[in-house]
Amino acid sequence: MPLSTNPASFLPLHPLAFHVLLVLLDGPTHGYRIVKELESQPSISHPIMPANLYRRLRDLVDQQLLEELPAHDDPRGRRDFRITPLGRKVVASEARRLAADVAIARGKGLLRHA
Amino acid sequence: MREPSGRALYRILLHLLPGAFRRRFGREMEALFFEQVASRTSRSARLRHWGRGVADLVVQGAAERTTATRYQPRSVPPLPGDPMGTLLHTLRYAMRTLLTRPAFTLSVVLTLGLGIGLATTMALVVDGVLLRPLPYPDADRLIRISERTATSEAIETSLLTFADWRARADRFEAMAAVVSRNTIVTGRFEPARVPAMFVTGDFFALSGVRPALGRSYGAAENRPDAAPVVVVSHEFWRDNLGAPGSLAQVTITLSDLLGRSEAYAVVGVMPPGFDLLGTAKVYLPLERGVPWSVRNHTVRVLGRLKPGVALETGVAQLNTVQAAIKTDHPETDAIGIAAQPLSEEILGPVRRPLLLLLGSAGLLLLIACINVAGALLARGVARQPEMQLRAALGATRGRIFGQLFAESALLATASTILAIGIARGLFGLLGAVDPMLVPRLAGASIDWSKLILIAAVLANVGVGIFGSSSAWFTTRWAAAGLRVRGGGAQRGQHTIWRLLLGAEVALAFMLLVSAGLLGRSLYQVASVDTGFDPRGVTIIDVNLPSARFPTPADHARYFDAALRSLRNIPGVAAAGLNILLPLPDVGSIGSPLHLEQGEAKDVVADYRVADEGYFAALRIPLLRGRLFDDRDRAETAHSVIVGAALARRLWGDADPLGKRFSIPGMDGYGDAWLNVVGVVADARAWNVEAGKQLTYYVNFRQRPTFLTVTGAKILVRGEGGTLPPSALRRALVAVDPGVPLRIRPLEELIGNGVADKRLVLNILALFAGLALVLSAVGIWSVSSFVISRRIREMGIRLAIGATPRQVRRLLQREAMLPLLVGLIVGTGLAIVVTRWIRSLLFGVSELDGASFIAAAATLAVTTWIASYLPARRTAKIDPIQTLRAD
Repeated sequence: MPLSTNPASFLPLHPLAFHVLLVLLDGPTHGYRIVKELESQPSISHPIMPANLYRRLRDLVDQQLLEELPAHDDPRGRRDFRITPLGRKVVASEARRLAADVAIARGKGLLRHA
Repeated sequence: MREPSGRALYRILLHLLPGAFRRRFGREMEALFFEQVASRTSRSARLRHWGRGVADLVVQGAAERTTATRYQPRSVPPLPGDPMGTLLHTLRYAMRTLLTRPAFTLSVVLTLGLGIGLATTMALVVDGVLLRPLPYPDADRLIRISERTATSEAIETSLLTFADWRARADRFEAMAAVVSRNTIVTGRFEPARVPAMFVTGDFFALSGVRPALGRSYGAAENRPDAAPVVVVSHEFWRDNLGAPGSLAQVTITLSDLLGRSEAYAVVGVMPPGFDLLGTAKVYLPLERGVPWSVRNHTVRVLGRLKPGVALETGVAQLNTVQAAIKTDHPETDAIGIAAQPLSEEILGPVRRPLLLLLGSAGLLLLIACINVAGALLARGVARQPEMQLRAALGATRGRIFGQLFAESALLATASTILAIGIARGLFGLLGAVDPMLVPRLAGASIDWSKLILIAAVLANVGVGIFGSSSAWFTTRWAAAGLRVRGGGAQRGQHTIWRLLLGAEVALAFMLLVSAGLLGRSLYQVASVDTGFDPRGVTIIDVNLPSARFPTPADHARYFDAALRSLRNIPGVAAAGLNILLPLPDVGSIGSPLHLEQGEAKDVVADYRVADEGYFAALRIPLLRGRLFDDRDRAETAHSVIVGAALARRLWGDADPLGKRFSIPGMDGYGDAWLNVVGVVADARAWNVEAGKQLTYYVNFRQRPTFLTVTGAKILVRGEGGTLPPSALRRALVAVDPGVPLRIRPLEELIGNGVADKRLVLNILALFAGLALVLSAVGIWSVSSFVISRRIREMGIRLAIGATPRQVRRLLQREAMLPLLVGLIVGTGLAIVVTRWIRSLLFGVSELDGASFIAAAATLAVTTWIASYLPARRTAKIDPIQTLRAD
């Protein structure tokens, strides 16, 4: 049972949580693939460290924005994480919130050259 | 970094994370981390990533352990098998528990902090004074050597005997002799009277301490024809000489042991704190002028054993030398030598008092710990429902024990911090203690690492024993309470309360008895009949500058005039003089007596130079004959007045008047007879046994020699109490304005003589008082608690017809049982302990009944009052209310 079903109550998301949810929109995958995906994105400048990542994943699972799938036959014991419907709503809400913020910034002429 | 070791390291580091998290994600994290490492192409990048990985685990581990996330209930008990998480959780919980009871927490921390603070301070003092090595190289080879005579275990020797020792005792690397006297020093500064040491050539070499500035001197400057040189103390160089950087051309004028004034070249400055054989401001060569060519007792000797030579070997050789001296010079009264390590001479007298105080502080700490244990236990009982609930919910006994122990540990930590503050403050106060009372105390600086270590060890031992035992009992009761309600557990509890109370009483009893014994000793000192009356007497210390008063006759003339002038002051009942007062440790001056008829077998009596006014000033009664009067002039036959004990010793029951004796070599009058003209009652120091003080008094007008050596004390008795010093000073300034004077009431001087005993007593009395207060608080709180547990029983008793008085009596009787046991045990312990402090007592047996009874009575009254208050409250309750309440 989710602690809250109102997407707005999860906002603002931690940037790493937001990015993780974005990656998982493409389908379930495990921690290493998430890191690979994230480190290829231009907005992520630092390596994603394991403890940081897994604490974030654990929190997202606890918040029921993600679910942990049973381990498959991976020799490293890796498990896939899948985004929940609530997670999809939350990441969409966060994206809209950020877009609104970006629009404000654009209105102030900050992004003229972008 | 090679693969296997890297993986092992990462796995160890993973333990920074709580076990549950680690088990859930650890393998994946490890896999991810090493895939990341492998993807780094350069060695430096891999190393950088390792750095990030470690930081990641540290930061996230700390975050995971401390801040519970928003979505979890606070402080979820960690799963089994995660000791780190359990510990942090336990500590957090303990902290919250303690903060909900601030009064309890504060009282425990104050009690423990005080106990630990005092014990730590005493431990630091003992460390600084007794355990710190003496500040001389190879100090364990420094030996103090004295002579033994028929009447004295250890007495100073003569320069002649010293010279023989030095020449013949080859087991010693070096030997030095020292005479300490005050001397008057003049130069380009205010004339001052300063403590001086006259030392033989080897003194500085033997100390192993080099001068901080310039040079010391040796045997070459210690000959009669040598140019006069002096080494000064750091203080003298700084305060009197103005701290010159170079000693060239620095001279001061000093008078030596023969009273000769000369200009001395200052050749060296000793480093600060140099105090071998006592503090002095100037060090003069002793052998430039040998003052006495007889075997008397004037110089202190220090030897340095050769490396590897045992003290016994050195002593044996000196005894052989001494026997040879006795053969060659039968007139010497020494029958052997006495030697002890220098450290023993310095620290021997303070060892027992300091250890006594350390022990007392330890006892006080023990009492504080017992109080705290009692409070923890009482709290444990009050928390039984909580414990039982936790046990019922699945907490193991170990877990509950750990919880209680964690609370104790936190209390110990807080107490340690408080204790360190208290010790710091007390150590600051030690500066006010007279450095003469406790050697090396001034130099004992606070050592923070030791301070913290001692305080922490004490706190941990205290909590280790008392925290864990009370936790053990509490958990046992909690476990028992689940099975049987009340009954068995309560009986066990009562035994423990009684044990605690009994122990507290026993410990407090020891402290009270010790304080009582010392107090009685001081009282005895004050009430000893010393044969003289110090009340209303003022002492004026006079040392005449030898430059202006070169001869003994000049001294005699001055004192004659001074006494006449003083006697003319209105309100002066008597004025007189003597070279030494009948006080402890003034030193002794004397040489064997030669009788006209018969032998005086080894009789060494104290030689005094006085006048007739001395006896009137101290109210020493004349028993036979007469005092000095106008018949005694310089040119007439020399008179002597003897003390009653000496008269009896020399002539038994025969009439001493008209008898004669001589003291060859004593004061420069050779074999000239002294005629006994009077016998006076004995006046003695309080620590000299009655009848053991052998004294004779020569007339200063006839034999003034010693006035030039020792100076004189003028005694003035006022008619209606002590006279104002200003009036006395005016009278003496009228005689000669250039004479340094020091004016003090005699009673103050006597008080200084027992200041060491008084200091010990004051500290001990403070400890005993604190012990009494702590015991009273302990007894009160335990009684209150035990009684509160029995409210229901008392309610029933009242309901079925017991009177409140009977109930109160019943409850108080039960508090008296542990008192009785405590007193019996305490008496046994005190008998053992007081035997050990016997040497500190005076005029009172270590088993002094009055002290024991007073201590017991004090504790009985305290216990009675402390148990009366809660018992009375209980007896006043309304039985119906109590019965309904349950």
